[in-house]
Amino acid sequence: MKMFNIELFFKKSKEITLTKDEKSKILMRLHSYITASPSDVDILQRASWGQFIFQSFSFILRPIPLTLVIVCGLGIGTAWAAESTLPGDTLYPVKTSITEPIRGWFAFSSSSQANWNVTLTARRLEEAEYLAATAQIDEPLRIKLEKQIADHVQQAELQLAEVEEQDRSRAFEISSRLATSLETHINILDQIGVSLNGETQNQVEQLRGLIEDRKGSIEDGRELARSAVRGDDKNLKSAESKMKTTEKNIKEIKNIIKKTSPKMNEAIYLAVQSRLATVDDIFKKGNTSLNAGAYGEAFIEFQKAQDGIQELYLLVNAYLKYSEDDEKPVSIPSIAPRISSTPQPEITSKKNHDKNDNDRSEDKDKQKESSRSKSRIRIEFD
Amino acid sequence: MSEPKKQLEQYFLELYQEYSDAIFRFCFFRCHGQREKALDITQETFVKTWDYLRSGKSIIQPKPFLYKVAKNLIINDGLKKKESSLDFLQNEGFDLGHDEKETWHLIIEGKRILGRLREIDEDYQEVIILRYIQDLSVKDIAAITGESENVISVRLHRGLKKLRELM
Repeated sequence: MKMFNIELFFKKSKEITLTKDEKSKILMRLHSYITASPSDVDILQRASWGQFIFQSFSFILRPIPLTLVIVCGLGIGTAWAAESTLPGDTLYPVKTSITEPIRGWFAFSSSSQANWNVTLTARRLEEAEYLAATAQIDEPLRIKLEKQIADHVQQAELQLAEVEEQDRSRAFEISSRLATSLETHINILDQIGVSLNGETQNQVEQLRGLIEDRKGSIEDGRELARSAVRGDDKNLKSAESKMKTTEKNIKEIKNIIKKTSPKMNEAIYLAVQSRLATVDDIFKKGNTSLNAGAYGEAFIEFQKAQDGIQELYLLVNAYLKYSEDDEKPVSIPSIAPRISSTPQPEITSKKNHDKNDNDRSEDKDKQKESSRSKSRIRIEFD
Repeated sequence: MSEPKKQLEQYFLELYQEYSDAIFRFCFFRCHGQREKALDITQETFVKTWDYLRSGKSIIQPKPFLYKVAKNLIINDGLKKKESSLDFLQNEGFDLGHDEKETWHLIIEGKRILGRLREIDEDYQEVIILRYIQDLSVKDIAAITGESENVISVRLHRGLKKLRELM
């Protein structure tokens, strides 16, 4: 009787499959991914496979949304070019209305969707910083960015509420990532704002006000999630997994800092090293809690270390982009905390922005040259 | 589009048609019934497989390869034993009985067995899922887990024994 039950269980388990809708949805997303990713393959070397009937695939692909058709119509080159555009650029709407939503399709679960909205929020904030640093931000651009930032934060909050019901530690991770991002970008905007004057400074202050306002509610959510995680001392695997990810991220940030340190002045280098030491200390505390069986506390400490890494990364990147030396490195790889498989924030390099600037109108360039002196911008770490 | 890329795409899409349900089922059980998470990982498995193929590398044994990618993604994602309610069974093929009594019997039994399955060691859980739910051969399971066929057979035997004891 018992074995019969197990066999029946195995038999019924085999009936669990993707629904037709899920299967075609993933297929469409994969197809858009394939179309957008060039192949390096010239010679196909693979095991022999049966005849593939492409007609059947074409049938499934019929309900491709208009956006994908537009991407295909515009050409992948255009879609990729749009990725590094800024508000005011001709291709910017392609980025925010087409390429980003398509990338958003790759997020199924509430946590992936929330993560993606955190990424989009970070992208808008970085664009705002660049526009502020180059004195290009005006009221219409600021209003446009504010609306997008508010929308992405709101979406993330809604999705976080769902994540909270399913997985409290994940909700804590994502809300921490968002709160740290907002906090650090406020810091960067403040430092950029010091060197500005007149209308540009006014626009930056208004934008800062909105971010500060949103940060408050996100921090409240983070606190709630943190309290829930603190009380969960049963989750050894979760704490261990967090420890491994944090350890990996610490290694990566150290590598990045090692590579970029020749471009830092002594004061900045020392400040960076001091922050790294703090991150190391927090990580050690996390390990102590882990060994003591306080898994909830360990998870919180590891997350705190991740927040430190994220903040350090954003500050180093801003320093490299906006500090006085024009010959600073132009890009460093992203090491945003690995929370899920969704795309992480891509820190657009100065090179990319500069490349875009070439496409901008001459009037804008002249205005930019006359209205700002980049050498006055400083990013500090204290 | 160049002919090799077209062929590669066709091959990849054939892999998807052939294995997506099985990979999803594997992710579903390894993610303890979190359907959305299983969908994410299934999709990511195929994205990573495409990245692998387009970089010019070949896949000799597609089935073990896909399972390995999915398995690593689940590990990297830090999925852990969750204290979920097992209510998902009600929506996942365990409510196919012809009458209400049979349906509830199936759900209750399914919950009970799944609950016991989660209590045994993860190495045992994995081979039982791969062998009896995914219908993979011992040879394929050995290729996925990186263990010898002998080790897999022993794990299957011991895992089933433990499961029966818990029942």
